[in-house]
Amino acid sequence: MNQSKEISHSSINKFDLFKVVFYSFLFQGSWNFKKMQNLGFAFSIQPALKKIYQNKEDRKGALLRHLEFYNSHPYMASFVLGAIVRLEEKYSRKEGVLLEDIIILKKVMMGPMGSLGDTFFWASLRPVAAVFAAALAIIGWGAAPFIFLLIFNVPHLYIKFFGVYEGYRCDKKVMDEIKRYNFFQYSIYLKSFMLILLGAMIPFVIKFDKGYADFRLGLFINGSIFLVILLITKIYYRKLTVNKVLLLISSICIVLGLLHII
Amino acid sequence: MFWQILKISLIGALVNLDDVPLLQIMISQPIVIAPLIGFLWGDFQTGLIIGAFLELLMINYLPIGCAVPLDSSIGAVVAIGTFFLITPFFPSSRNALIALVVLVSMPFTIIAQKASILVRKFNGRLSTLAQESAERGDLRKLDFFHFTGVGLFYLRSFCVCFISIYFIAVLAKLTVYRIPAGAFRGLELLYTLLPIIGIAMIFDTFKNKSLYGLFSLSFFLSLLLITLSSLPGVLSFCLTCLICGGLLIIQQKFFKSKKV
Repeated sequence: MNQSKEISHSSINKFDLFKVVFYSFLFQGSWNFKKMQNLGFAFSIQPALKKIYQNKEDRKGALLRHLEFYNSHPYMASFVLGAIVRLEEKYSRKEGVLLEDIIILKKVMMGPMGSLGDTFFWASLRPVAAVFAAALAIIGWGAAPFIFLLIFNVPHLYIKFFGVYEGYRCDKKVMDEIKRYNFFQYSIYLKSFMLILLGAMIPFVIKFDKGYADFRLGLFINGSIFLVILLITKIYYRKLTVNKVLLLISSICIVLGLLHII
Repeated sequence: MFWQILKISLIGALVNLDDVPLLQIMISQPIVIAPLIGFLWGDFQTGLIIGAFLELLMINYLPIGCAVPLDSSIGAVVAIGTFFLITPFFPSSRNALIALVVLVSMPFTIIAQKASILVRKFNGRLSTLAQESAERGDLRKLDFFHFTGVGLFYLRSFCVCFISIYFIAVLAKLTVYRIPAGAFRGLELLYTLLPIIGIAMIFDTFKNKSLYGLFSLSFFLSLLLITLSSLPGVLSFCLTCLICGGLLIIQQKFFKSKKV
């Protein structure tokens, strides 16, 4: 209610913010090592800037401001996009916002947003959704890819859309608002849950002929798998990459096959 | 063969755009892209298994910060594409072929990673050009340079997919009669070990020993349900996850642990 009230009083309406969200799906379109996501940021914020600055010279100045170095998480950047749109709007109306405020807010939020997004989305949610889907696929459930997309994209799209609107509503106070979401705590829960998924998945790796009828046989086979896992984990301790481990294990398997041991 | 490789590469590169430059709704992840191509070429199930194996093996390669990880998405396209092309040459079992394509696709994830680094270096030039044109007052060029970046990512994915699949298919054709039958028996064993290697790789990243209890509990509970109950596999798995997930919440509430 409060949000719609604030938006209705400004030149930027909900549809303009929706356009920012829509453009932000290309946020990393020209990701580069020089200035990272600068072009993506300027591209995403462009529809709002067109509305705020009718004068071409002003718009040029604003775009040049946003073509500076920027690197954050592509989803969490939506909070920054919303907040910056609000500050640009206030700056254009001379409502007590200085140019430095815009630049500083962008720089200050870049790091924490990147860190939060990397921890929550890349290092927690995506692996958990992927392990869950991979387990379902190994069990033989065809809906696994859809489950993966559903688990990952509900929080993703929520943050992507909600972030811009929330950022716009809170402008400089957006960091306080984000703190309430407790992303780090959820990351801990998710990563712990991944271990449960791994444990529950192991008995499905080998489908033995008895149709899982014999518990003792199952226990023996899965106990052996457990030991193999621990053995491979020891190999990983040597900081080998997945390619090297695969090369090592596949070579052993092929040699065993050639020697008629298996 | 040429047209088939071309079609797989064009579609694979298009879906791969989701990885970095476009959407990022994760349709480029192996668990989605491999079954998708499998479905289009008439074998969804094989795509699903290849996707699941690659997903487990490469789950730890994350695009954190400005890191460019190994490209598991291209790996999945190469693996499933190669599977369809080499199946007629190899009269061995499906499982051995799946293990073979997963194995041969791995080096190409490194090549795709290097190609991605090149594109990102070149995109730096686009960023400079966009800035220069904005300074001149030509603001529309910004969109052009941004979309050029997307196009370059597409071109990279297409080239890597096409060259990789073509190379493997030609190699398979040349070596088809020289591979001894014993090697395929070894690959059958590797097929069983691939998900285990993946699980071990993920397991290795957990340093918090207090969670190992939950890991063992979920293992035994899952084993108990699938051997002693008549529940379908999916239900046994989900029930185990639910019970252990509940225990996890209790553990976190009463014995808070911040290290994972």
